[in-house]
Amino acid sequence: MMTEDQKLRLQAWVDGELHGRERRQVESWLAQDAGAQAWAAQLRAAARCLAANETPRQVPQSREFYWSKIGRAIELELAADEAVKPSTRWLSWRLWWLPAAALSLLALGGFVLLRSLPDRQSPAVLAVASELETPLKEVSSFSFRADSERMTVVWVNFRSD
Amino acid sequence: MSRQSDLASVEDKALVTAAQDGSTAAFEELVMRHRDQLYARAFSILRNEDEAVDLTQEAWIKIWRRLGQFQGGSGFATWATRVVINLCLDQLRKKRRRAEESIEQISEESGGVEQFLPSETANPTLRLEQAELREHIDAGLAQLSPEHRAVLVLHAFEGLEYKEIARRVGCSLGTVMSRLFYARRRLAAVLNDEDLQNFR
Repeated sequence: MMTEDQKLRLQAWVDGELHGRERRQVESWLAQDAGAQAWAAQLRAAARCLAANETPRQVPQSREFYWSKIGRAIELELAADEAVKPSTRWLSWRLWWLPAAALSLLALGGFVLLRSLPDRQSPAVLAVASELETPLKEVSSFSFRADSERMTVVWVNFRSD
Repeated sequence: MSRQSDLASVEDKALVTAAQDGSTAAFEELVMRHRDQLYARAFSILRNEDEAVDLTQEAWIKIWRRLGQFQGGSGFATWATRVVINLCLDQLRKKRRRAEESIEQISEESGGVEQFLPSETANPTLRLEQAELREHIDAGLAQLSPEHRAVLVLHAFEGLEYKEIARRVGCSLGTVMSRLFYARRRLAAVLNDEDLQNFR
Protein backbone atom coordinates (compact mmCIF):
# COMPACT_ATOMS: atom_id res chain seq x y z
CA MET A 1 0.00 0.00 0.00
CA MET A 2 1.46 3.32 -1.10
CA THR A 3 1.42 6.34 1.15
CA GLU A 4 0.11 9.72 -0.06
CA ASP A 5 3.64 11.02 -0.15
CA GLN A 6 4.79 8.12 -2.33
CA LYS A 7 1.94 8.71 -4.75
CA LEU A 8 2.77 12.39 -5.05
CA ARG A 9 6.43 11.60 -5.65
CA LEU A 10 5.44 9.11 -8.31
CA GLN A 11 3.34 11.75 -9.99
CA ALA A 12 6.22 14.23 -9.84
CA TRP A 13 8.41 11.62 -11.52
CA VAL A 14 5.79 11.07 -14.25
CA ASP A 15 5.70 14.84 -14.85
CA GLY A 16 9.47 15.08 -15.08
CA GLU A 17 9.65 17.22 -11.94
CA LEU A 18 12.21 15.07 -10.12
CA HIS A 19 15.92 15.41 -10.67
CA GLY A 20 19.14 13.86 -9.47
CA ARG A 21 18.98 11.67 -6.42
CA GLU A 22 15.22 11.93 -5.96
CA ARG A 23 14.65 10.78 -9.48
CA ARG A 24 17.01 7.82 -9.15
CA GLN A 25 15.32 6.79 -5.91
CA VAL A 26 11.90 6.67 -7.54
CA GLU A 27 13.26 4.81 -10.55
CA SER A 28 14.85 2.12 -8.43
CA TRP A 29 11.64 1.81 -6.41
CA LEU A 30 9.62 1.49 -9.65
CA ALA A 31 11.92 -1.23 -10.92
CA GLN A 32 10.98 -3.39 -7.94
CA ASP A 33 7.35 -2.52 -7.41
CA ALA A 34 4.73 -3.61 -9.93
CA GLY A 35 2.01 -1.74 -8.07
CA ALA A 36 3.94 1.51 -8.37
CA GLN A 37 4.48 0.82 -12.06
CA ALA A 38 0.74 0.43 -12.58
CA TRP A 39 0.09 3.68 -10.74
CA ALA A 40 2.66 5.51 -12.78
CA ALA A 41 1.22 4.12 -16.00
CA GLN A 42 -2.27 5.23 -15.05
CA LEU A 43 -1.16 8.71 -14.06
CA ARG A 44 0.79 9.10 -17.29
CA ALA A 45 -2.14 7.87 -19.37
CA ALA A 46 -4.55 10.28 -17.65
CA ALA A 47 -2.14 13.18 -18.20
CA ARG A 48 -1.61 12.39 -21.88
CA CYS A 49 -5.27 11.72 -22.52
CA LEU A 50 -6.24 15.07 -21.04
CA ALA A 51 -3.51 17.02 -22.82
CA ALA A 52 -4.56 15.61 -26.18
CA ASN A 53 -8.26 16.15 -25.70
CA GLU A 54 -9.03 19.68 -24.71
CA THR A 55 -12.50 20.28 -26.03
CA PRO A 56 -12.43 22.95 -28.73
CA ARG A 57 -15.02 25.62 -28.07
CA GLN A 58 -16.48 28.53 -29.94
CA VAL A 59 -17.61 31.80 -28.45
CA PRO A 60 -21.41 31.51 -28.32
CA GLN A 61 -21.87 34.99 -29.79
CA SER A 62 -21.68 36.45 -33.27
CA ARG A 63 -18.51 38.21 -34.34
CA GLU A 64 -20.21 41.62 -34.28
CA PHE A 65 -21.85 41.14 -30.92
CA TYR A 66 -18.68 39.85 -29.29
CA TRP A 67 -16.56 42.66 -30.73
CA SER A 68 -19.07 45.43 -29.94
CA LYS A 69 -18.30 45.48 -26.22
CA ILE A 70 -14.54 45.36 -26.80
CA GLY A 71 -14.66 47.95 -29.58
CA ARG A 72 -16.80 50.30 -27.51
CA ALA A 73 -14.40 50.13 -24.57
CA ILE A 74 -11.43 50.80 -26.85
CA GLU A 75 -13.19 53.75 -28.51
CA LEU A 76 -13.94 55.24 -25.10
CA GLU A 77 -10.31 54.88 -24.08
CA LEU A 78 -9.11 56.45 -27.30
CA ALA A 79 -11.54 59.35 -26.86
CA ALA A 80 -10.38 59.84 -23.27
CA ASP A 81 -6.75 59.84 -24.42
CA GLU A 82 -7.54 62.46 -27.05
CA ALA A 83 -9.25 64.66 -24.49
CA VAL A 84 -6.26 64.53 -22.17
CA LYS A 85 -3.64 64.91 -24.89
CA PRO A 86 -2.96 68.57 -25.86
CA SER A 87 -3.12 69.40 -29.55
CA THR A 88 0.08 69.34 -31.57
CA ARG A 89 -0.40 73.01 -32.51
CA TRP A 90 -0.47 73.96 -28.84
CA LEU A 91 2.57 71.77 -28.23
CA SER A 92 4.61 73.44 -30.99
CA TRP A 93 3.49 76.92 -29.90
CA ARG A 94 4.35 76.13 -26.31
CA LEU A 95 7.81 75.09 -27.44
CA TRP A 96 8.55 78.70 -28.45
CA TRP A 97 6.30 80.57 -26.16
CA LEU A 98 7.67 79.29 -22.85
CA PRO A 99 11.32 80.18 -23.47
CA ALA A 100 10.27 83.55 -24.91
CA ALA A 101 8.14 84.29 -21.86
CA ALA A 102 10.98 83.30 -19.55
CA LEU A 103 13.40 85.60 -21.36
CA SER A 104 10.92 88.48 -21.26
CA LEU A 105 10.45 88.04 -17.54
CA LEU A 106 14.20 88.07 -17.00
CA ALA A 107 14.59 91.22 -19.08
CA LEU A 108 11.75 92.92 -17.22
CA GLY A 109 13.25 91.93 -13.88
CA GLY A 110 16.61 93.38 -14.92
CA PHE A 111 15.01 96.57 -16.06
CA VAL A 112 13.08 97.01 -12.84
CA LEU A 113 16.23 96.36 -10.85
CA LEU A 114 18.18 98.96 -12.76
CA ARG A 115 15.43 101.51 -12.41
CA SER A 116 15.39 101.04 -8.69
CA LEU A 117 19.12 101.81 -8.34
CA PRO A 118 20.09 105.34 -7.10
CA ASP A 119 20.55 107.72 -10.04
CA ARG A 120 23.82 109.54 -9.24
CA GLN A 121 25.50 110.13 -12.57
CA SER A 122 25.46 113.44 -14.41
CA PRO A 123 23.37 113.53 -17.55
CA ALA A 124 26.32 114.49 -19.78
CA VAL A 125 28.92 112.05 -18.66
CA LEU A 126 28.54 108.35 -18.48
CA ALA A 127 29.58 107.28 -15.08
CA VAL A 128 29.63 104.20 -12.99
CA ALA A 129 26.19 104.00 -11.54
CA SER A 130 26.58 100.93 -9.50
CA GLU A 131 28.40 97.70 -9.20
CA LEU A 132 26.22 94.66 -8.93
CA GLU A 133 27.41 91.97 -6.57
CA THR A 134 27.53 88.44 -7.83
CA PRO A 135 28.23 85.31 -5.85
CA LEU A 136 30.99 84.46 -8.28
CA LYS A 137 34.42 85.89 -7.60
CA GLU A 138 35.55 85.84 -11.18
CA VAL A 139 32.50 87.65 -12.52
CA SER A 140 31.57 91.26 -11.89
CA SER A 141 29.22 93.60 -13.62
CA PHE A 142 28.73 97.36 -13.95
CA SER A 143 25.76 99.23 -15.18
CA PHE A 144 25.69 102.75 -16.65
CA ARG A 145 22.72 104.89 -17.22
CA ALA A 146 22.52 108.07 -19.20
CA ASP A 147 19.14 109.68 -18.79
CA SER A 148 19.84 112.19 -21.52
CA GLU A 149 20.49 109.39 -23.92
CA ARG A 150 17.71 107.35 -22.35
CA MET A 151 20.08 104.43 -22.35
CA THR A 152 21.35 101.81 -19.89
CA VAL A 153 24.45 99.73 -20.49
CA VAL A 154 25.31 96.64 -18.46
CA TRP A 155 28.99 95.61 -18.54
CA VAL A 156 29.77 92.09 -17.44
CA ASN A 157 33.40 91.38 -16.65
CA PHE A 158 34.68 87.85 -16.60
CA ARG A 159 38.19 87.27 -15.30
CA SER A 160 39.77 84.47 -17.22
CA ASP A 161 42.78 84.05 -14.90
CA MET B 1 -4.48 48.32 -42.79
CA SER B 2 -8.15 48.97 -42.75
CA ARG B 3 -10.45 46.54 -44.51
CA GLN B 4 -11.17 43.50 -42.37
CA SER B 5 -11.15 41.16 -45.39
CA ASP B 6 -7.65 42.34 -46.32
CA LEU B 7 -6.40 41.56 -42.86
CA ALA B 8 -7.37 37.91 -42.89
CA SER B 9 -4.14 36.94 -44.64
CA VAL B 10 -1.87 39.14 -42.54
CA GLU B 11 0.33 37.40 -39.96
CA ASP B 12 -0.16 37.96 -36.25
CA LYS B 13 3.14 39.78 -35.91
CA ALA B 14 2.21 42.43 -38.46
CA LEU B 15 -1.25 42.79 -36.96
CA VAL B 16 0.22 43.30 -33.50
CA THR B 17 2.57 45.99 -34.84
CA ALA B 18 -0.34 47.75 -36.54
CA ALA B 19 -2.46 47.48 -33.40
CA GLN B 20 0.41 48.88 -31.34
CA ASP B 21 0.35 51.86 -33.70
CA GLY B 22 -3.32 52.33 -32.93
CA SER B 23 -5.11 50.30 -35.61
CA THR B 24 -8.34 49.01 -34.10
CA ALA B 25 -9.07 47.11 -37.33
CA ALA B 26 -5.86 45.11 -36.89
CA PHE B 27 -6.75 44.46 -33.26
CA GLU B 28 -10.25 43.34 -34.22
CA GLU B 29 -8.71 40.82 -36.60
CA LEU B 30 -6.51 39.49 -33.78
CA VAL B 31 -9.58 39.18 -31.55
CA MET B 32 -11.50 37.27 -34.20
CA ARG B 33 -8.57 35.02 -34.89
CA HIS B 34 -7.93 33.96 -31.31
CA ARG B 35 -11.21 34.53 -29.50
CA ASP B 36 -12.26 30.86 -29.57
CA GLN B 37 -8.96 29.66 -28.17
CA LEU B 38 -9.06 32.17 -25.35
CA TYR B 39 -12.70 31.43 -24.67
CA ALA B 40 -12.01 27.67 -24.55
CA ARG B 41 -9.26 28.20 -22.00
CA ALA B 42 -11.43 30.44 -19.85
CA PHE B 43 -14.30 27.96 -20.06
CA SER B 44 -12.00 25.08 -19.07
CA ILE B 45 -11.29 26.86 -15.82
CA LEU B 46 -14.58 28.62 -15.08
CA ARG B 47 -17.08 26.12 -16.56
CA ASN B 48 -19.59 28.84 -17.23
CA GLU B 49 -20.41 30.24 -20.68
CA ASP B 50 -21.45 33.73 -19.62
CA GLU B 51 -18.54 34.16 -17.24
CA ALA B 52 -16.10 32.93 -19.86
CA VAL B 53 -17.48 35.33 -22.49
CA ASP B 54 -17.40 38.32 -20.12
CA LEU B 55 -13.97 37.46 -18.84
CA THR B 56 -12.44 37.05 -22.29
CA GLN B 57 -13.95 40.35 -23.45
CA GLU B 58 -12.43 42.01 -20.39
CA ALA B 59 -9.16 40.25 -21.21
CA TRP B 60 -9.15 41.62 -24.77
CA ILE B 61 -9.60 45.14 -23.48
CA LYS B 62 -6.66 44.60 -21.10
CA ILE B 63 -4.64 43.15 -23.96
CA TRP B 64 -5.30 46.30 -26.02
CA ARG B 65 -4.07 48.45 -23.11
CA ARG B 66 -0.97 46.33 -22.65
CA LEU B 67 -0.07 45.90 -26.30
CA GLY B 68 2.93 48.14 -25.77
CA GLN B 69 4.34 45.61 -23.32
CA PHE B 70 4.22 42.76 -25.81
CA GLN B 71 7.77 42.27 -27.02
CA GLY B 72 7.14 39.29 -29.27
CA GLY B 73 9.26 36.87 -27.22
CA SER B 74 6.41 34.37 -27.24
CA GLY B 75 3.59 34.10 -29.75
CA PHE B 76 0.77 36.59 -29.46
CA ALA B 77 -1.78 33.85 -28.70
CA THR B 78 0.41 32.47 -25.89
CA TRP B 79 0.78 35.92 -24.40
CA ALA B 80 -2.94 36.64 -24.72
CA THR B 81 -3.82 33.27 -23.16
CA ARG B 82 -1.63 34.17 -20.20
CA VAL B 83 -3.68 37.33 -19.67
CA VAL B 84 -6.89 35.28 -19.75
CA ILE B 85 -5.56 32.72 -17.28
CA ASN B 86 -4.45 35.41 -14.87
CA LEU B 87 -7.92 36.95 -14.99
CA CYS B 88 -9.48 33.52 -14.42
CA LEU B 89 -7.26 32.95 -11.40
CA ASP B 90 -8.13 36.39 -10.04
CA GLN B 91 -11.80 35.58 -10.43
CA LEU B 92 -11.38 32.26 -8.65
CA ARG B 93 -9.62 33.99 -5.78
CA LYS B 94 -12.49 36.46 -5.45
CA LYS B 95 -15.03 33.64 -5.50
CA ARG B 96 -13.03 31.63 -3.05
CA ARG B 97 -13.04 34.44 -0.57
CA ARG B 98 -16.82 34.43 -0.72
CA ALA B 99 -17.45 30.75 -0.88
CA GLU B 100 -17.29 28.16 1.84
CA GLU B 101 -14.76 25.42 1.58
CA SER B 102 -15.87 22.74 -0.82
CA ILE B 103 -16.16 19.11 0.12
CA GLU B 104 -13.29 18.40 -2.19
CA GLN B 105 -11.00 20.70 -0.27
CA ILE B 106 -12.01 19.14 3.00
CA SER B 107 -11.30 15.68 1.67
CA GLU B 108 -7.98 16.82 0.27
CA GLU B 109 -6.83 18.45 3.44
CA SER B 110 -7.86 15.51 5.57
CA GLY B 111 -5.57 13.34 3.46
CA GLY B 112 -8.29 11.01 2.20
CA VAL B 113 -8.02 12.09 -1.40
CA GLU B 114 -9.55 8.99 -2.87
CA GLN B 115 -12.20 8.12 -0.36
CA PHE B 116 -14.90 9.90 -2.37
CA LEU B 117 -13.83 8.62 -5.77
CA PRO B 118 -16.25 6.55 -7.80
CA SER B 119 -15.25 3.25 -9.27
CA GLU B 120 -12.56 3.67 -11.91
CA THR B 121 -14.26 1.82 -14.73
CA ALA B 122 -17.24 3.49 -16.37
CA ASN B 123 -17.95 0.91 -19.05
CA PRO B 124 -15.04 -1.24 -20.23
CA THR B 125 -16.84 -2.61 -23.27
CA LEU B 126 -17.65 0.77 -24.73
CA ARG B 127 -15.11 2.22 -27.16
CA LEU B 128 -15.46 5.94 -27.12
CA GLU B 129 -14.86 8.04 -30.15
CA GLN B 130 -12.87 11.19 -29.58
CA ALA B 131 -15.98 13.33 -29.29
CA GLU B 132 -17.33 11.04 -26.61
CA LEU B 133 -13.97 10.89 -24.93
CA ARG B 134 -13.92 14.66 -24.79
CA GLU B 135 -17.40 14.68 -23.36
CA HIS B 136 -16.25 12.39 -20.60
CA ILE B 137 -13.19 14.48 -19.93
CA ASP B 138 -15.41 17.52 -19.88
CA ALA B 139 -17.72 15.87 -17.40
CA GLY B 140 -14.72 14.95 -15.26
CA LEU B 141 -13.45 18.53 -15.34
CA ALA B 142 -16.89 19.82 -14.41
CA GLN B 143 -16.87 17.67 -11.26
CA LEU B 144 -13.71 19.28 -9.97
CA SER B 145 -13.58 22.31 -7.76
CA PRO B 146 -12.39 25.47 -9.56
CA GLU B 147 -9.10 25.31 -7.66
CA HIS B 148 -8.35 21.72 -8.70
CA ARG B 149 -9.47 22.43 -12.26
CA ALA B 150 -7.24 25.49 -12.55
CA VAL B 151 -4.17 23.51 -11.52
CA LEU B 152 -5.03 20.70 -13.91
CA VAL B 153 -5.64 23.08 -16.82
CA LEU B 154 -2.43 25.00 -16.19
CA HIS B 155 -0.47 21.76 -16.16
CA ALA B 156 -2.19 19.80 -18.91
CA PHE B 157 -3.11 22.53 -21.39
CA GLU B 158 -0.55 25.22 -20.64
CA GLY B 159 2.27 22.81 -19.88
CA LEU B 160 3.44 24.78 -16.84
CA GLU B 161 5.81 23.33 -14.26
CA TYR B 162 4.72 22.85 -10.64
CA LYS B 163 6.73 25.83 -9.46
CA GLU B 164 5.18 28.18 -12.01
CA ILE B 165 1.67 26.91 -11.22
CA ALA B 166 2.27 27.51 -7.51
CA ARG B 167 3.41 31.04 -8.26
CA ARG B 168 0.44 31.83 -10.48
CA VAL B 169 -2.19 30.26 -8.27
CA GLY B 170 -0.60 31.56 -5.09
CA CYS B 171 -0.26 28.30 -3.19
CA SER B 172 2.50 25.95 -2.08
CA LEU B 173 4.24 23.38 -4.25
CA GLY B 174 2.74 20.63 -2.09
CA THR B 175 -0.77 21.95 -2.71
CA VAL B 176 -0.17 21.98 -6.44
CA MET B 177 1.00 18.37 -6.34
CA SER B 178 -1.90 17.21 -4.24
CA ARG B 179 -4.50 19.09 -6.31
CA LEU B 180 -3.06 17.75 -9.52
CA PHE B 181 -3.00 14.23 -8.19
CA TYR B 182 -6.54 14.40 -6.99
CA ALA B 183 -7.78 15.95 -10.24
CA ARG B 184 -6.09 13.29 -12.34
CA ARG B 185 -7.45 10.46 -10.27
CA ARG B 186 -10.88 11.97 -10.53
CA LEU B 187 -10.52 12.26 -14.25
CA ALA B 188 -9.22 8.72 -14.60
CA ALA B 189 -12.33 7.58 -12.79
CA VAL B 190 -14.63 8.81 -15.56
CA LEU B 191 -12.56 7.23 -18.33
CA ASN B 192 -12.44 3.54 -19.01
CA ASP B 193 -9.28 1.44 -19.24
CA GLU B 194 -9.59 1.12 -22.99
CA ASP B 195 -9.44 4.90 -23.45
CA LEU B 196 -6.46 5.26 -21.21
CA GLN B 197 -4.77 2.31 -22.90
CA ASN B 198 -4.27 4.44 -26.00
CA PHE B 199 -2.23 6.91 -24.01
CA ARG B 200 -0.01 4.51 -22.07
